[in-house]
Amino acid sequence: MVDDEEARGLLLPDDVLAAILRRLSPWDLAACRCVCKQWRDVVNGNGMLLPRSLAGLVLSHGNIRYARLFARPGVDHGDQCMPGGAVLDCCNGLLLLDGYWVRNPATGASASVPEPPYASPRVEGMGCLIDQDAFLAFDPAASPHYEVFLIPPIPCIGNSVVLAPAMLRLEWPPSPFVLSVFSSRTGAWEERAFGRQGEAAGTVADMQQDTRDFLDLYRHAEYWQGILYVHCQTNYLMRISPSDSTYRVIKPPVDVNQEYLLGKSEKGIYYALLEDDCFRLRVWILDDCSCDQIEWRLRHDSGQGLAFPTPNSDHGNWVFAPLYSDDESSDDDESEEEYEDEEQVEEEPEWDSDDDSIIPTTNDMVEQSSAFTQMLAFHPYKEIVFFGRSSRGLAYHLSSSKLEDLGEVFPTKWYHIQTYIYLRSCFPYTPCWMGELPRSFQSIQDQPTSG
Amino acid sequence: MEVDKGKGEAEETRKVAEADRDTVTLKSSDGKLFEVSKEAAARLSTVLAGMIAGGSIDDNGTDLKQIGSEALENVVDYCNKHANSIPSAALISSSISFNTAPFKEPEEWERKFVDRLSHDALFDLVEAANFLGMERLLDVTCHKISEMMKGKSPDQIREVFNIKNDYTKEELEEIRQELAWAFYDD
Repeated sequence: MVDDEEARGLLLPDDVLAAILRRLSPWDLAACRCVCKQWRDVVNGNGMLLPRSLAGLVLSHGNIRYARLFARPGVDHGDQCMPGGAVLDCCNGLLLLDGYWVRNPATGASASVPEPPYASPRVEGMGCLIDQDAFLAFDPAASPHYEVFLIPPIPCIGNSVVLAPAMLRLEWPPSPFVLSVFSSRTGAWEERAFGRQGEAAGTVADMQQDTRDFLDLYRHAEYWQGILYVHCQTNYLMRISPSDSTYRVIKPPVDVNQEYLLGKSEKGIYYALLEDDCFRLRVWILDDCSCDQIEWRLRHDSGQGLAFPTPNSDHGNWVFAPLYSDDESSDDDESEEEYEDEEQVEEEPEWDSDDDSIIPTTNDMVEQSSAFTQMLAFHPYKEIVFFGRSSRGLAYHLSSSKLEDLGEVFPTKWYHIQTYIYLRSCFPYTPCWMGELPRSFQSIQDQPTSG
Repeated sequence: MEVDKGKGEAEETRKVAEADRDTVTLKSSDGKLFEVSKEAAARLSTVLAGMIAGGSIDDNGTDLKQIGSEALENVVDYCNKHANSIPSAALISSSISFNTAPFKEPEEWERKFVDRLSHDALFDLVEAANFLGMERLLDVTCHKISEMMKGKSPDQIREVFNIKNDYTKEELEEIRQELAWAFYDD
């Protein structure tokens, strides 16, 4: 039908070309970038290879060392292999792994981060015996470089060391707060002092009155618009501004003795609170327009408790993606089979809250109260909160107040394991297809594999 | 509703009908006239809707200087077919795309409509759809063109779309390095 010699070629305005290219997979986009300069500029200019969709949730279970990607079957997450080794943090498609590796599962790039300086006392006279929390700050739209921040815990909370009364009267967090920061720009750790703006969260003694138990609770950090927001013990938020080396304490909207969930979603930084006893969910958005007036704005209040559905394995179709797609010797055959089977399930519209995967709810309060329920993460682009309840993953749509059952959040092969397995951490994973990791780039073969 | 299929030559000498007609006459860059249902034009094209609402429709043929007669004939043809088709549930987003915005899948007749076009006609049509603000037609044509790119190497894409490689060898190597993950197999 078409005579190539007569074809005059495709000369399209950038916006039309963008509308075409936007439909392509990252692999096709990679080829298109090589076609000509206009095409490359359209792909780059529209950030088409930057994180823009949720591939799934990276889940870590109890004592199991490796993380797994829990995703809707059929979503094109490509050859991304979740690494062996515990995931410490995940930021815009980049994972920070135990043992200080940084890995981009989409591109397969890995880089090692040198061992951080020993978690030494940051405040004179206060020993830090607990591991510091490590968080990634990475925004590929702004820079290919990343930073790792170590946030020291409140001194001696959770252990039996008794502090001198003088220490107890000190403010926390201190000012300046000296943090260990690794930058891929320099390839080294440095101690960076952050001056506090505004009030402290309290005194060390105040902090120690916090009676929450210190299970292996995971607190998130979010990197958004050049600011790192860290959910700290006792629920205050540290708003760290690396550009001017300052930080600010943001108190929680409601003072309760219960963990909040920090997340980034459609409109910025979100904080969610699920009251244990009645399952009332409240969600706030951080109003961070002017630095002087940072406030929480209530976005959603479920009012009475969420009517959680009775777990039902007939619902939900999210599954675990194959663990090591680059590892032939994977012993996870069972799950892979399950995954492939599921792939043939007809795809359902993404987050269509009207479809029938929205499950009927039950008012069986007896059953409701008995199931262990935890908030897992926010959807990075839509106003959805993910929950884990018993063994099921759930998605709660703020706009419609509907709960959607996603599927089993524990691989089925673990059912025979007697010990209690819990979800230790959960990160929304948004693949980033751009760029090598700067500095100390090493191929995946050099990475220690998990046992 | 009486809908005229665009037959430019025949329309050329046509007398202008009374003011409250239910069609509009469009004039291609090469002076051919096409008639299309006013309702369909207003519904499918934001630009034509604006012109109709603003009273800038010329009963002797509204000049569309950017659109050739072949493309305009396809546009009119599409409008007429669309007016006669019953939107199905498939119009609602169905596929899960890699990127955030889900795209509407073309319907069967829309697929056939673009499949029969030559490459040149398709490229002209996508430009015309863009110019006229025809979101749905743009969707359908972009979908078709993106299908033509899938699974192809840069060389194959250049060949299909007759695009000149304006990279130097060094530049090309650099750009491949940036996305080394995509070219392992080469």
